[in-house]
Amino acid sequence: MSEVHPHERPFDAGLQTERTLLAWRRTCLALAVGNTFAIRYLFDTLGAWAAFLGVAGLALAAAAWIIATIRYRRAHLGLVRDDTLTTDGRLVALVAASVISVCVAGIVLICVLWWPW
Amino acid sequence: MTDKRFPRSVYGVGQEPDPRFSLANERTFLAWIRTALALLAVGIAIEALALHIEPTLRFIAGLIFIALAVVAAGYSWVAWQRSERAMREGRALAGPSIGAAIAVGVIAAIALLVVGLFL
Repeated sequence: MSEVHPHERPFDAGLQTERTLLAWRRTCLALAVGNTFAIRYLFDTLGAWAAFLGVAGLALAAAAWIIATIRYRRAHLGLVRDDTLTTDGRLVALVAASVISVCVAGIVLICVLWWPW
Repeated sequence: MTDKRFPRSVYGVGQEPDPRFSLANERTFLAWIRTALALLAVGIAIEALALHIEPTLRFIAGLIFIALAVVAAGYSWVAWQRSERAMREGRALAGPSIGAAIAVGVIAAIALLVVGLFL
C-alpha cells in the first residue's frame, strides 16, 4: 500500500482550502466575462482606445487568478506542515480596490451614455 | 513574535484563529465582491442596452445600482477586516449590517425602472 505524500493530502476533510481557491477562481471568471463584454461594447461605441481598458481589466483578472493559485499552494503547504495559515490581506485589498475603481469608471460611462447632448 | 502581515490592524492583535474560519471569511469576502460585480453589471447594462425606459429614470436607476456596487465592494473589505480581527480576539462576529441598505436600494432602483417603463 503506497503512502500518500503529506503535501498531497488535503489539509481539511471539508476541503476548505480548495473551496476558497475555487471561490477566487469564480470571482476571476466573473471579472473576465464582464471585461470581455466591456471590450466588445467599448469598441463598438467609443473605439479601440476605450476597448484597451477592457483588455487591461482582463489582464488584471488573469493576474488575480495566478496570484490566488500561488497563494493557495503556499497556504496548503503551510497548513499541512504546521497547521498555520500564513496568507494576508494584500490580495483581498487589491481586489476590493479594483472593483471600486471599475465602479467609478462605470459611473463615468453611464454619465457619458446618458448625457443629453 | 509580532505578526507583520498586512493589514497590521488585523494581524497585529489577538491570536491565530482556526484556519478554516479565516478561509470561510475569505469566501464571504468573495461573495460580497461577486454581489458588487452583479450590481455593477446591471447598472451598466440598463444604460448600454438602451432599454425602452424613460432615459432620466433609467440613468438614476443605473446610478443607484453602481453606487450600491461601490457600497458592497467597500463593505466587503470592511467586513473581512472586522471579522478577521473579531476571530483573532475571540469576539462574536458582526452581522451583515449593510444587507438591508442594499435591499432597499435595489427595490428603489427597480421601482424607478418600472415607472420609467410606462412613461
